[in-house]
Amino acid sequence: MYNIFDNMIMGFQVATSWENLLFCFIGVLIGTLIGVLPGIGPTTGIAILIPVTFGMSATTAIITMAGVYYGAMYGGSTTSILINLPGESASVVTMLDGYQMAKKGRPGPALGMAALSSFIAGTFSIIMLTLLAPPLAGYAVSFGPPEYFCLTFMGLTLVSALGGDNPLKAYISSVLGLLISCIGIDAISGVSRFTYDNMNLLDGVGFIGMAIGLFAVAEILENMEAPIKQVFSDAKLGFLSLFPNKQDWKDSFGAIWRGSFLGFFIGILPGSGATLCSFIAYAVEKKLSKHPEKFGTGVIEGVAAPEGANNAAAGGGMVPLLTLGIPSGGATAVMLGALMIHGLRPGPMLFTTNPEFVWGLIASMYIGNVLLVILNMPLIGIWVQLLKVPYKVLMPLILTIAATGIFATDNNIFDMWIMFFFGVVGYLMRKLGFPEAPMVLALVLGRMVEMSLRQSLTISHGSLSIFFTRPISGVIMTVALISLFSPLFPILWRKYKGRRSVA
Amino acid sequence: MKTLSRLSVLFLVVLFVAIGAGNALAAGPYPTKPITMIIHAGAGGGSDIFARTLSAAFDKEKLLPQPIIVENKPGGSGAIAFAYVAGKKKDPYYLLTAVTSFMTTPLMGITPVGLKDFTPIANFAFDEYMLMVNPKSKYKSVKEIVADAKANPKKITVGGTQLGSSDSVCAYLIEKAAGVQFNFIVFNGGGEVNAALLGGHIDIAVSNPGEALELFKAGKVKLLGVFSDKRLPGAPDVPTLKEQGVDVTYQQNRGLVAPADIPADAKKTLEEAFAKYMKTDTFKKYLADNMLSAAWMDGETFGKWLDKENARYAVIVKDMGLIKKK
Amino acid sequence: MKKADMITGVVLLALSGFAIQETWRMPASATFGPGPAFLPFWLAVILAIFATILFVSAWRRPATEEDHHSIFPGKTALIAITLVMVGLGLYIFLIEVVGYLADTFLFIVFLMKAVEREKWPLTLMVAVCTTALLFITFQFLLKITLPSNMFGF
Repeated sequence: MYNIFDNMIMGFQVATSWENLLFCFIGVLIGTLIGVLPGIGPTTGIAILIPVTFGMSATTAIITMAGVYYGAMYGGSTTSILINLPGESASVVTMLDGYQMAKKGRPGPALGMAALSSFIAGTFSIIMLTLLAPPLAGYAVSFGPPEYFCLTFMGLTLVSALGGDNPLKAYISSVLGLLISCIGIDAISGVSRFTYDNMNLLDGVGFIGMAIGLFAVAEILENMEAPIKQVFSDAKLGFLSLFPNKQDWKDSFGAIWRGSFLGFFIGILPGSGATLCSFIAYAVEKKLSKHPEKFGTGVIEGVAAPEGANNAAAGGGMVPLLTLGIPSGGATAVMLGALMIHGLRPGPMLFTTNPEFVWGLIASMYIGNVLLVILNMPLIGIWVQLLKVPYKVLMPLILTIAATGIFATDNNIFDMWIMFFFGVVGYLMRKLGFPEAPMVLALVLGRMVEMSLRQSLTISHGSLSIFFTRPISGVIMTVALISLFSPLFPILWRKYKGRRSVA
Repeated sequence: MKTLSRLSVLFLVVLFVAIGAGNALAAGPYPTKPITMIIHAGAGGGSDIFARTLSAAFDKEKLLPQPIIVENKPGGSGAIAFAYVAGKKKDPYYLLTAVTSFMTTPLMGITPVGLKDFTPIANFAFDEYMLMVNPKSKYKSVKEIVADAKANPKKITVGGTQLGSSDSVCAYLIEKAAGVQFNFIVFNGGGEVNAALLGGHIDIAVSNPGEALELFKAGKVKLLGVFSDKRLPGAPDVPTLKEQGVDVTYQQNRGLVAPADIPADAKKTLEEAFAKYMKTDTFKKYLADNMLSAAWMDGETFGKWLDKENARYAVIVKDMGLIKKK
Repeated sequence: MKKADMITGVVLLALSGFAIQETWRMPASATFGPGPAFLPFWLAVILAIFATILFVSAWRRPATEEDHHSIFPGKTALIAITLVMVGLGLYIFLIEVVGYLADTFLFIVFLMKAVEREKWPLTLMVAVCTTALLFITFQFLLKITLPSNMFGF
């Protein structure tokens, strides 16, 4: 047992120096702002900060960047809940129930639960990181291509949980999303597919532009159908009603823990990302719920689970980065690059060669989480005032902030056209009863699904048995297949019973 | 009338604010604004470390009056990044990392852009490559791998990145020299290849030291051979492939190019700044840390070298069966 | 919904046919595994199956009272929606010509005057405040270079 207690004391000594405290605060503040703004997410935020961190010591630099990373996870939920505009990709799922809660006059509890669930899950994942990081390094690499394929495939089969009452339409929506993810250059062979010599399409269809189009723009268009009125019913904005009440806590308790757990353990796997974690946490919550039909109409578990999961994933993502020097996603990859510039070489040796750095960072994450709650709870009071702004004023604001945020992610005007296109598509989908969430999930997972599928089949020379003969992939695949065919069971059961009653 | 005058006043205010902001970016000698360096591969890989170290050194030592901003555009064997920079014709505010894939990707017919669309600026170093396995692997030497590959053709899995990249060429060179066939698995980047090797999902990985040195030092991976002429100073116990009877050597260049037809003075400014960078401690430390050998070429020399290498790769890529019919 | 589902089914079927035909032109694999056409081809096949199910089940389902109503809203609503999208399209189209500041300002004025028919004072106030707020946040706080026109703003 390496001495965690001593190490943590040392870590807190490093993290509580005035300089590190200050930059931790600045980091989470910037992170919150970046999270709130649509489009630009933690990856862009950290990249913007890299030049600023050159003057700092490596420890202060990583503390600041980590602050931005999990700060963005907190902030991302705000606009999702208030105006159906995803702050960053990991908070797309939070919209499904969060926005409905806001519409029903309960924006306060939704925002409060998002923040508190984030806090609990964030702290949980840091405790796990503290206690288990080195042993978990082995787990992080235990997933090979077949396991990744099964995991992402399972994620796709859960999409029926994201749809409305028609599973067929949910599946069509996700197949379309997967097809869209094939647009662009194939990462294995380098062949360009469905691009028609359009340079902008080589990179594929931007996820954030699509999500903002499908959700935020389509929502605005739908609101234009009736003469402009106040979309949000009169919110009770008394002080106490801003916070989740006893019933909310009772409803969310299990969701927060399951979300934390799933988020952390899926978040550790390199390449999985916080978005996948939040999707899976939401789908699992709906499958386990006693009233799954209420999901999507504004239940608080639907906010607590994904928000917990994406924050826990932020902590989980630090495990392979610190123990193996392998980034778990875009944001941690940028952090890795920054560490190298500071002369640190993350890898298995980091815990022994630079303990003050590792433990200082971990201790600062505890502090940062507390700072975020202190920062965010009073902000809720201000945010909900936003809904008192007449919708006719809010509507232009939402459209322009969405367009600007999308442009800012890649400095690319084409992404704005993506938003425009999917705004129209999203409106049609709403009218035709197709859910948007499965399409968005499919686009996020698409490239991972294809890469891992083709890698696996290359390893096995084309045999599908590779997905069933390995223990982890076998179990996940079985769960996925059950989940895929579960909508059929009630139908078959009814037919069976019907036939028996006839006989 | 009143509202109209109010409108014009407000509009004027906006105009003034805007012009003020616009003037902040006033004209002057190159560079007057930050330069964007596009990396053709993902964050955390060899090119990424190279580019970010360079960008940091420029910032610290003020080698240019403006910073160099690093941006990753991975995917499609680099084609996405090449197309992006080629599209910035005449714009000296874009740079592109140029390694082996800079030649192989156009040769494979993935992208219509090619050498003609770029201005070579400088080459900095040569990158070494090494063959590594999981410490639990049954292979103890390259000879054993070759023997096993002969007994079980197409069975040994080799992990690497994008077809046509340096590691795939390395694997191909062994295949050709030893007369064997591997099963090459493509990953998104060096980090993912390492993860797959650590987890035992692939048998062999070809990697450059910058990406795998820390894992080697910690005993998480085992080096079986290096692709250089002589043993590397950073790992003197690891034999070269030649010593083990596989006659293969391979080095990758690390250079930078700019879009075609950039102004001559901008090219000169860049060349001079990069020549200075070669002499900084940061660059020397980078070479030592990543086991690279310095190899300076200015734009003209680099351009000739690229033409020569391009002809050599044309043969290799064709042999690998990577040339696509249109 | 019955008619709408049938039309959707046909459109999706056409889409999948188009995708399948596209995958024929993609080159074969250079590894021992499947090539670039593999996933899009099978996705298109699955899409075709789903689209057929959608079409057939809608066709066989008896029409209900609800099916006789159009799924789209009335004329005034459609005009408002079209105006918003035309405005947004023009906004994106003109952003590099007019520059971010002026373009955003004009777009908000358009939304509030042409679509919402608001009074000038409120329109101008919202337009100026929103434009300034966005410009300050993105250009100054986040150092993102927003598009500018030939005069540099």
